[in-house]
Amino acid sequence: MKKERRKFKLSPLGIYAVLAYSFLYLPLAVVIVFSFSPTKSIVGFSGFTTRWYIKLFNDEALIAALIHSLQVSLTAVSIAVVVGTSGAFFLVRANFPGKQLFRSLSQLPLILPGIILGIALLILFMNLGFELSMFSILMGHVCFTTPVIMFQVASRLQRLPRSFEYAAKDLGATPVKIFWYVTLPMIRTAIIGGALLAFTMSFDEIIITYFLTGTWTTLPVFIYGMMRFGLSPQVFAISTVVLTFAMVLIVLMAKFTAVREEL
Amino acid sequence: MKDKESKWQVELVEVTKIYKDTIAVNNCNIKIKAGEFFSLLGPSGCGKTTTLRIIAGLEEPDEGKVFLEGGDVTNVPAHRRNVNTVFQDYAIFPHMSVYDNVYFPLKMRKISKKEADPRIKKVLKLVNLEGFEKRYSSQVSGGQRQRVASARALVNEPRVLLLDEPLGALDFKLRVSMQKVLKDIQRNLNITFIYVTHDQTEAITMSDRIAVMSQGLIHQIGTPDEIYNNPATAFVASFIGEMNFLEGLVASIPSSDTVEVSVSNKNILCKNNDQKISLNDGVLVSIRPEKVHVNPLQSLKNVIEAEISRIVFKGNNFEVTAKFDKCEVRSLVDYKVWDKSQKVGNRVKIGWNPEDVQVFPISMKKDMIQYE
Repeated sequence: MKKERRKFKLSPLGIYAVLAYSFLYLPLAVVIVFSFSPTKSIVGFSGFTTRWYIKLFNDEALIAALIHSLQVSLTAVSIAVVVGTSGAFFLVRANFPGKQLFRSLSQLPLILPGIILGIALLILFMNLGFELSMFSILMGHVCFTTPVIMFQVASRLQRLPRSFEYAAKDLGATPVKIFWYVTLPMIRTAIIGGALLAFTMSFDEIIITYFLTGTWTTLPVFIYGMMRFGLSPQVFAISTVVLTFAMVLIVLMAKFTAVREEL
Repeated sequence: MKDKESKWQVELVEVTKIYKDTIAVNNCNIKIKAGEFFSLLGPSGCGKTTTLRIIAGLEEPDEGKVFLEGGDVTNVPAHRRNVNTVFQDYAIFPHMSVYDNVYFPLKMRKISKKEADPRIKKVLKLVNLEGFEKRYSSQVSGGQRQRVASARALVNEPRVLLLDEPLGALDFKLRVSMQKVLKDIQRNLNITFIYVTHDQTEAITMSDRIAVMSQGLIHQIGTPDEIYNNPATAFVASFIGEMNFLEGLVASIPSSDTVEVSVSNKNILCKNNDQKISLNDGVLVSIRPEKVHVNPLQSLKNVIEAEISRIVFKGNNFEVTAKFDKCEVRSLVDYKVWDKSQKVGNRVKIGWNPEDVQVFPISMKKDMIQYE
């Protein structure tokens, strides 16, 4: 579907939109602005500097936390893609009593307050004798990213007519080939979109991680720790970096999950 | 014309398929010859598509057996049957170009693109889609999509092509021209077509033989001529073409091949196509409108006085409805023959030959197609 570019007109609805977006994005803009402030004061603004950013890149502990975050998020999302996609097939294609209940329950880790999931996992890992490490954090992240991908893929699968698969079967494709050449390409964008969203959520996650973290920690928990020494432009700088990164992912996700005409 | 020696290419033996509490296909027996254009015709929900899917291997019958070229394929999955299907919604893979769609079945047989290329080009030429190779399904019209689906199903050179309402989504003119295209392909390649349709005109004009189905049952299998002129049941008579139905009682059976039926105290001489009929049985008398003459010049065995109740101009002919007592009989009269001075309310004689009248037991009335 081609979008027609319309001329921008400041209608009442337009003014409303501007106000709503200002409310949402002004605080973010403030963070960005203050990350370039030379003083530690958070009231008033004088001058411009990039020294907080330079300081960031020289902070080894922070860089380590960033790398940890990337490790956790990438691994968790990879696992969630496999589990979530197969779960989506089960949810859409299998028929069993209590399917609707199962469907709702599968979204629970996502809907549940992080503090409850965090405590629950902590108690579980403690009882199982696991040490708090990268592994415990990873499991926590798999827990709430799986439903994200499962939901995205399931809703695409639901809209996908079965006739494509019947046609492939009829034309000589084995079940594995049907999945690889026909079904997977048609749900690919949903998987990618779901993965990007899940990654964004995992990368920013703090509450569950906070409970499951030992000495090994991720970036959001590290930033939270930095705050104990008061707000500093360095925190704003790292926030700006994370924000930019998340924005890019969200835009990509929106592009992939948009309903395409051919389906 | 019938070649008794030829082996059946497709054979369904006592096939039954049940979904939950409806019998989709009820004890069906079908035998189809190689190179035949065979149609499964019936209203929606009659089980024709299920029958087709059983032949394709996309459904397993609950009872009965399916044979392809003499071999039992009842439990052989679809991807291992030498049968291909053109689906109702075409199912053109949207993430592949026209070329790649047609290459797909060859790719599944591990044929390299280089080796497949001449075959793909040949089949695209056959369906007149040269130059569309790089397009995607969203970039071609409905008729072209239909041809992509046909090309994709034909590239494997299947022995049997199954078509599930392939022209259902197209508008009338395009449908008529695609009917010709499909019929030409079938004739040129000399492969068996099994064609599912609810459009009786399509089935009659294209098929060598037709199986007429209703509610999972096969009512009749025959040539278009047999089905039109000698319908086996009242359902077939009502579903195919136009038909007048009159209710009456058997008054006498003058000879083994005729019966006399009393309709509103008028006796009508009919062909005795149902030998089981006996005296005083309730029957349905059926006559095609084109067999009914208004004020006939020749002498006919059945002539009834009636009053014209409606005259409808239909282009090349008139549909004249005449009423006697509570019975209405429609007649199709050629434009050149019709006396244009006739008006509604005029008294006329209507008549027909006993050979053109068939009787069915009244019990068949419930199966008939009711058009308001």
